[in-house]
Amino acid sequence: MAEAALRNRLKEARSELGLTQAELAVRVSVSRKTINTVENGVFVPSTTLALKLAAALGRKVEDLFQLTE
Amino acid sequence: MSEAPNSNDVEKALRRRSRAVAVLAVVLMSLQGAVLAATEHVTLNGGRLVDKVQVGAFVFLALALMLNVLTGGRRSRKYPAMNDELVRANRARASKLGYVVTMLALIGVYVAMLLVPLDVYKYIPLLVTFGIVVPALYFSVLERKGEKGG
Repeated sequence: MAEAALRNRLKEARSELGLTQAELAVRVSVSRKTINTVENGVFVPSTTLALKLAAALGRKVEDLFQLTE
Repeated sequence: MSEAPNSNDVEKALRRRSRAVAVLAVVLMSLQGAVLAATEHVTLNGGRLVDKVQVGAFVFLALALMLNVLTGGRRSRKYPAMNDELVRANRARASKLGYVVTMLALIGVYVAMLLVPLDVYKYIPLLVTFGIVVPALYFSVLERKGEKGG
């Protein structure tokens, strides 16, 4: 069975709040590079980081991350 | 207001660490000729001081580089973001590659040893370098990825 890809709306959610990658990175205690790689789909975050990102952006995790076939 | 400089400090420290790892790896490789020659002359009770210093420097540098890649260095204690999950994932990928190349190199030496007479101990520095430099350079490359944007 083919593995489903993970799509994310992190950049849109961050931009809506007027946050930079650096500001979001500080809120969730990671580097800006980590935020950048998550936004670009290069790095798939852990559940913990996904929950932290959702909390920092005031969204549900499933609003930020979706599986695509 | 106070958050942005902190993020910049982390960015700078990450770039510095990535560069330092790459430079240390190149220095370790450049020592190979001298260390291989020195290894032949150093014994527990004998050998020239200069050879012992070269072997000692090689061992120290190899351990320093390995610890830097595996732990992130002292700066990551000051900035926990330097040891976040992306860094840990990069470290795991680099370590996995290091394991594979070291095993392949050891298997290669073992097969070569069966075919031709080989003083294996003389080549241990080369194997150590291989097992440390390859993952260190790979870690440095992985760390440089994703720096642009934002």
